[in-house]
Amino acid sequence: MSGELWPVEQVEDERPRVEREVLVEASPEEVWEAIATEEGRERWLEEEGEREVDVVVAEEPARLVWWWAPDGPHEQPSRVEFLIRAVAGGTRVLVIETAPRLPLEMLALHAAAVLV
Amino acid sequence: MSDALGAVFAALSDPTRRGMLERLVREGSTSVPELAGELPISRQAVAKHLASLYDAGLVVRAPGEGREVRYRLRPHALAGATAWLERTEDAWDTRVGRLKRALEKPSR
Repeated sequence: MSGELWPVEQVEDERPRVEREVLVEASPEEVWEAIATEEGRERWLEEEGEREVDVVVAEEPARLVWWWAPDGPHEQPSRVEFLIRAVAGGTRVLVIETAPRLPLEMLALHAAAVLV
Repeated sequence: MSDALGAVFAALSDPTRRGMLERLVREGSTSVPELAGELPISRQAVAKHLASLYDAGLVVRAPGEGREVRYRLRPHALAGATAWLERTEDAWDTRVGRLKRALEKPSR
């Protein structure tokens, strides 16, 4: 991941997280339309079934943050952040999904599950 | 609430013990002398905290060098975290591919 492209403070968090970066041959506005609107998301997310997306930050067309949770009674919501930057040849998209729980909380739940 | 669950919550209710667990998450293992060298509490107090984590099933004991006893997180304690990471990595590999194809499709 290129350090200069993404502001560090936006990707710092102590929870486990997954980061993926992709270069798309499209404008930041087109990327924005694909991730920030329901119609746009249907084009690449709908195969996964219904998942309610709750957008909490929308800084068009540079930064989008949403919360979502997979279907299921024990599923916890997790945070997804997109950073969008115009670069030569298209647009770079960095996506960061942050784990719903701190490692310690996961440990506690695991220990409780083993012992109960 | 079962006694076992009560022991877990009691063990986790103390900030010093939570600090010890967080250290184990980061570093893998520790020992009474190691912790006593770094924390502003006595060896005896460290041993007591570790015993409480052990009784709660959060850590296990393992032999170290010589007579040293080392403490580790219970095996697979972080399995939930690892499974989430693997699942989420796979999911985003697929999704960024789909996003790219959706945006670059000429017939768009």
